[in-house]
Amino acid sequence: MTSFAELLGGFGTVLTPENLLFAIVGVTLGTLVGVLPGIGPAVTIALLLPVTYNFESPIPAFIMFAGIYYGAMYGGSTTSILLNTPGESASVATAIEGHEMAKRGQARAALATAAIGSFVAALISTVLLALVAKPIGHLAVSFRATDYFALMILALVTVTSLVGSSLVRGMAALLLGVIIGFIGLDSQSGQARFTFDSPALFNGVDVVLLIIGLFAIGETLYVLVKGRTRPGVVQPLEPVKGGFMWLNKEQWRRSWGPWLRGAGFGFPFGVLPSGGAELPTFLSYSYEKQRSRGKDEFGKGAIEGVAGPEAANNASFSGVLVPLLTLGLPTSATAAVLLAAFKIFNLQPGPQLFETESDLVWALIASLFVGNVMLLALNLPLIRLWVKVLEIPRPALYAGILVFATLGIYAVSGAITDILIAYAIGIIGFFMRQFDFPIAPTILGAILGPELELQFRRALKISDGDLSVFVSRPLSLSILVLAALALALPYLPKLIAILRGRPAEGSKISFADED
Amino acid sequence: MTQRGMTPQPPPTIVVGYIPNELGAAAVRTAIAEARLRGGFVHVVNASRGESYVDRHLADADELNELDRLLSDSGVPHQVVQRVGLAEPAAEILDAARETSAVLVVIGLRHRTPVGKLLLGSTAQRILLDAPCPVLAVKA
Amino acid sequence: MSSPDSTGSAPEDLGGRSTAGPAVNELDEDHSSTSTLGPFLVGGFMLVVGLVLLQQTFKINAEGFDPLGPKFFPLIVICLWLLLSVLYLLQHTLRVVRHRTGLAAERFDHMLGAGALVVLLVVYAYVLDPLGYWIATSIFFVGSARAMGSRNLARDIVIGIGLALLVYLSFTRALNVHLPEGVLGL
Repeated sequence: MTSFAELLGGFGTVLTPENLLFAIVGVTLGTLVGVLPGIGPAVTIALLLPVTYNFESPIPAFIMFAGIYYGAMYGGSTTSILLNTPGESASVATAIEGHEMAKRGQARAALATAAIGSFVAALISTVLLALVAKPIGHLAVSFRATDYFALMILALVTVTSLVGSSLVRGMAALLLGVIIGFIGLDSQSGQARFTFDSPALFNGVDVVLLIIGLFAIGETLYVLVKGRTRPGVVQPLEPVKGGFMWLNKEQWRRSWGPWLRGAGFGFPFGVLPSGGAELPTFLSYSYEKQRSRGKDEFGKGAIEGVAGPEAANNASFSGVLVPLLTLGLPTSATAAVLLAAFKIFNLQPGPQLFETESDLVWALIASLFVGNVMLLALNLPLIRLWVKVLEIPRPALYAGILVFATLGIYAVSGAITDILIAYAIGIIGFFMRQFDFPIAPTILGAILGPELELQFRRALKISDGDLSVFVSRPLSLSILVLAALALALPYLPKLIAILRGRPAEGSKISFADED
Repeated sequence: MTQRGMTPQPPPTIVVGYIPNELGAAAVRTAIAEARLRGGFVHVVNASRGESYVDRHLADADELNELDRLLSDSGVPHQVVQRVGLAEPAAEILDAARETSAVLVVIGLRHRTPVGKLLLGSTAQRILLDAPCPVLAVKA
Repeated sequence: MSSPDSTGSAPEDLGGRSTAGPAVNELDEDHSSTSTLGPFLVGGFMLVVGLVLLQQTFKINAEGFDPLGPKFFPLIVICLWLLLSVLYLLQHTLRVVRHRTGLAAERFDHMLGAGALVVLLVVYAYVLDPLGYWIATSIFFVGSARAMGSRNLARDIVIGIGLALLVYLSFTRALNVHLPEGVLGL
């Protein structure tokens, strides 16, 4: 029960007025960006990173970041349900059923089942996180360089093969990130690589520049070139019909099962490198559809189709924290930014983090509980306010985003060259969007690339340059085999179709990226 | 160019700037009344710049149907045009007035604080000043 | 950026009017488009970048290609990159030959506005220090909103000045982040 005592200590840290204020700021900002299509938690956290440089303790910063992430998920489901425009990629499943419910005059019920489901799932998954993180951390102590190398390959490959619509484009995006990660002085030999003899590049490209460039500036140019679109129609909230927390008895009965199952899908898929929340939300949706007796209600506003995916969505974030905290392995763009944040505070996530920074870790976990309570209290009553955000004219909105993007970059270093580098990266990001290259693999590549090379060279140093070291250790080998399988996974339906002698239709399973 | 003398004179057109709220409904009702008096044709314009994710001034399918029902029930010949993302609503309404050689433009008008006027611009003011014909402003 | 092209016009022939349903005119932009030329350019560019980087890899100051040295890992990655560039070009060529469509590529519609925005961004970066944060940001906000199609100057000026001041004060006073004061010396 030591974990429990430490968790209580974490609550003690979070429940100070100052930290609660940061939690409120975090969930509010997060909901705001979650409501808006196009900008997500990853870039918001990246923009705020420079602000936290001056913080004395990393704890308030991480409490705020956790709030932003959860807030973005609540905000994303609000937009999905009321507008049918998924505010962020993991809300796609919610958009299907939730919007249909809203059209049938059940907007409040859809919003409530999404919010309460997110809350329930977050509680369950945070308990699971508190339970498994430490044992996994202990397990990770025995990991060797080759295992870390294999794990990173697995994380990179799964994210790349599951995100976006083309493996070639996904891999190219990933390698672009790895190449950007090379730029600068080699950490071991001190040699300059790909700097083109420019001193400005000796320190490499800061991850904050990369994220702000690719997400904020690239997205703005993309939206501008795409031009105007027909404004959506926000479904009105129906008058409150009674029931507890906007759900009647029947709706509570139909929701709790999907909530629990959604959490069950979300957490393990978050722990495994699977590219964030898209896969579990999709699986939860399909499962609820299969299970449902009134199958024909699906597609027309089945409450299970909102409750399950939303729970899975939130549970996966706590799952994503497991490899991030215990192994230093980010498996989504947002996790990659959080890793960058750890580095700013000179913290090295990994097995030792639970020993050396146990205050921070447990405060972070406790803040997940607190943030979710706040969101449940804030989100439903403030729906009208969030909808107002969508009425901001896009030119003003995106001009504001550019102002904050430039501010974020300027705050990193104050150098004009850095601002220009970020703009150039933004133009690359724009072209990547235009030609349907996913963005998330580039971020992960840039963050994990240097680590990957470090572990690669560390492993070879131990083996005296013998390359077979990566396949001679069973654990490393099996992880690498998993990675190879993950590459083939999206093509599974196609392969099965071919094996059954049917012409293959459709291309591959894919999920949107961004966050 | 068609020669005006050859075809019978078309009925006078009344252009209405419509937004889906009380104000827009009041404008349309007034336009119907005017059309009855003058034996005219009602040309309803609903326009949005399409520059935000949500625009309350853009009528959705239900509201357009409602509007169409209101007009059909009145028995007045009419047409409803919705234009999105092309020009300012004021310009759309003025263009419609010019193209149809309208005899009257009907708009809804409400109180605005000076700050509100500055931030949101004034569609009504532009129409009042630039319309090629008399403008009838209706208060809800 | 000029105002977007008009797709429909009000009916000219006023004789044939009826009580038909509402006519909806709006810009209809197809976003799931493909292109024949675009991906060729992208693939070619990727190839050129790969070759330049390959040449740069050889210029890294280290003996040979020792797996432990700073050259080996980049070499593998660059080779993979070149392979992917070729694969991308091949995929596209095959699709053009077989289906006459090409890979995904969205239309480059409002490039004038995008170009103006990039120029504005670069100018903004250069004038931040000499002009100071508040003035530079206010001007940039108005300019970029206009480049993105806003036609409400008064609104943009009010929001721009207000936002810039709010950000300047809250970051310099409350968050201790240094921002250039510039000519105003705030």
